[in-house]
Amino acid sequence: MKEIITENEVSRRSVLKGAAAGAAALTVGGVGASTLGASAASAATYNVSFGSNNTNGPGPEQDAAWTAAAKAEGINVALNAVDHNNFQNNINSYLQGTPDNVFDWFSGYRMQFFAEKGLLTPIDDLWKKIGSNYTAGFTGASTGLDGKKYLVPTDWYPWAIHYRKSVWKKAGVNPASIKTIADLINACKVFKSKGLVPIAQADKGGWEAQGVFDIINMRTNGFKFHMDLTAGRASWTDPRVQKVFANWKSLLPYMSAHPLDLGDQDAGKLVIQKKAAMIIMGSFTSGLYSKADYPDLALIPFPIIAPANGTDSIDAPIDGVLASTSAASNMAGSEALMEFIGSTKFSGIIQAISPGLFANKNSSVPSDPFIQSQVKLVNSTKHVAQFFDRDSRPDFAGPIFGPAIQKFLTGGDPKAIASNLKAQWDALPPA
Amino acid sequence: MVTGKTSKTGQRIAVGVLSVFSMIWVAPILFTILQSFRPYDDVIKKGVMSWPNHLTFVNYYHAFVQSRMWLFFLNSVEVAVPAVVLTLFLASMIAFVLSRYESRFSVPMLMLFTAGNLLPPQLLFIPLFRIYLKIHVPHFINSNGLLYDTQLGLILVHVAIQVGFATFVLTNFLRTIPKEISESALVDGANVWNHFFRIILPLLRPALASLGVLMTTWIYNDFFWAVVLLKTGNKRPITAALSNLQGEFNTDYNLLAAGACMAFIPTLLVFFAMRKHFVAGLTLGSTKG
Repeated sequence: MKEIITENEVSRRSVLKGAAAGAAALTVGGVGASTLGASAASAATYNVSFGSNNTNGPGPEQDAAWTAAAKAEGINVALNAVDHNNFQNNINSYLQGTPDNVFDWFSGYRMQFFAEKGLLTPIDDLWKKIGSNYTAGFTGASTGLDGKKYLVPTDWYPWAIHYRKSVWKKAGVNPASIKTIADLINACKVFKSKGLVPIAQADKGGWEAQGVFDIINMRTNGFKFHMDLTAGRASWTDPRVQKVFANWKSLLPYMSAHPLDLGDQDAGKLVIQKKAAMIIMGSFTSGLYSKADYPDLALIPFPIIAPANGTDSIDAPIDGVLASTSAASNMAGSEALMEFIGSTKFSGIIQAISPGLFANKNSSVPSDPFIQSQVKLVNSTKHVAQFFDRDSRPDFAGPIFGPAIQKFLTGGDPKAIASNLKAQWDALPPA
Repeated sequence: MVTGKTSKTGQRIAVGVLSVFSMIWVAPILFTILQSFRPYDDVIKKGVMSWPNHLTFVNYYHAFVQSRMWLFFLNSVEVAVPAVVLTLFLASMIAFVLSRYESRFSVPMLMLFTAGNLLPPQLLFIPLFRIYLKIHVPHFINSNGLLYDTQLGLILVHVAIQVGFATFVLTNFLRTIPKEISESALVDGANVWNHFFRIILPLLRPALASLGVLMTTWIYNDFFWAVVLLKTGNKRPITAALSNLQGEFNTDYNLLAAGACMAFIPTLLVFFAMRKHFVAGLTLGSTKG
């Protein structure tokens, strides 16, 4: 696989780029994951506890498969699986209580936040071994504000416009013709005239529309401003924020009329049911499709708004594993497990059960056209952001920004919303 | 007769209003049950509100296998049974003292117990979490030696919270029982232990049965404490484990509905088996003799 993510200047890390590059350079012929198996089998046996948030769908099957493979390599994994929502809601008490050595989590601010609080164990030694498996983008996303490495990235997915090929064909809209936002609006008019909701928009959870804000901001004002804004270096009262809302407003007549009543799945289903023409969503929306409908699913990048920015940035959140404070007393075992989880052996096992995209650049990419189109999308993109709630402060994205966007979608005044956002950001305790 | 006629229309209106309200109340449950029998693909294609083409048990099968229902059901029993027994035992002792040994502390004590019930549990979570991380238990109870993340810890929380209400109910119930019984026992030379175990406890039996049914359903239905005080997925009771059927991005709500329907079967069984006690429990102590 080619370099998926060529550049990533996520939030405050731009100053650390030098450090990240240095770490990568140190990796002279890092241990290829494929060579791990033979040598580790005869080596010491480790006992490591692992906190999984993967209890649904293929999750238990995947966990069973990879823990068995890890055992064969001398890593006994004590698996503690908790459902994703509760795992996420309890992460604070989980990490301050008796956390498992290694656990599932996200990159970006959501990782840095806990690293800053001293609730994670850095894994720089491990990164010297595995660093060559990752592109600079993933390396940056695995680095904390202190320049240390915390994450072993595993998988990721892009955000884009998702649609059903058959619906667009029937309406006579050619996806390749959508180059600019004006093209998109024209297409929306066609869909509307055919009785479809042009864009299914969800925001029941308060996070769904954050992806729409991200992409419109990156297209309108460019990647750097977006990153400055999410990290608080740019102000919410900056006139460029108003441009985002203005551009969004031009799309609102073509979006679902009551987005606050729709969860992400509800909106995704409208596309499947051919009641809506498209959805701006992460590629995980494919999980809703039946085997029969899946080949009909496709994606295109969100079109150009400001020609200077082109379509050079997208959201593509990365998931991975972190070491908790309890790993410090079991470092050898924890690192062995994290190395295994970062290996192509691991990604191969997971992909055999359900396809997806993996961070390790040596891992294979499924031949499935929809997955291929995700890779193509990211390869043609210069900048990769995580997602609003991963790039910004957790105490801002969820409780403050989410409701503000909901207010905007229900007819709130963008100027008042922006000044309110600034006031609330300023009132936050120092992170 | 005029009065008879109005009372009859009054009754009809009452029945009408009550029927409407009970329909409103029952509708979501019936809806959940209906969804639990519908296949996922059908709902995705036609929408949740559509009329089902065919019904299937496949969700129940998957929910049972995928969520390892038995394991979590046994976890619930392991928490609920000791918690209820311990609560009733402690509360009946307190009720005995408060109702039979009147002192100037009786009423303030009773008020304290009742007031404890008014505290929202969410308020107690952070301090309790910190305390549980400081309390050490033998390693055969928890491998990391802390009260946090143990079923024992969960049982203790339930006992502490429920004892207040149980004491309140049992004290009022004991006050309806003539004191003469106790007096004659004392005259016959019963000491405090005999008085409690041989006189009071048997008299409390109907109240204990009703309260036991109520508390079993309450503790069985608890979600909050199970989620915040247990870290290990495999120790969680069924209410918390149900969310194992929910995913990071996509949730099959039909599967979840099937899981929820299975989870409420034990509560229903307890209710129907002991319906009489349940109703008695709700009015317990409401008539003071």
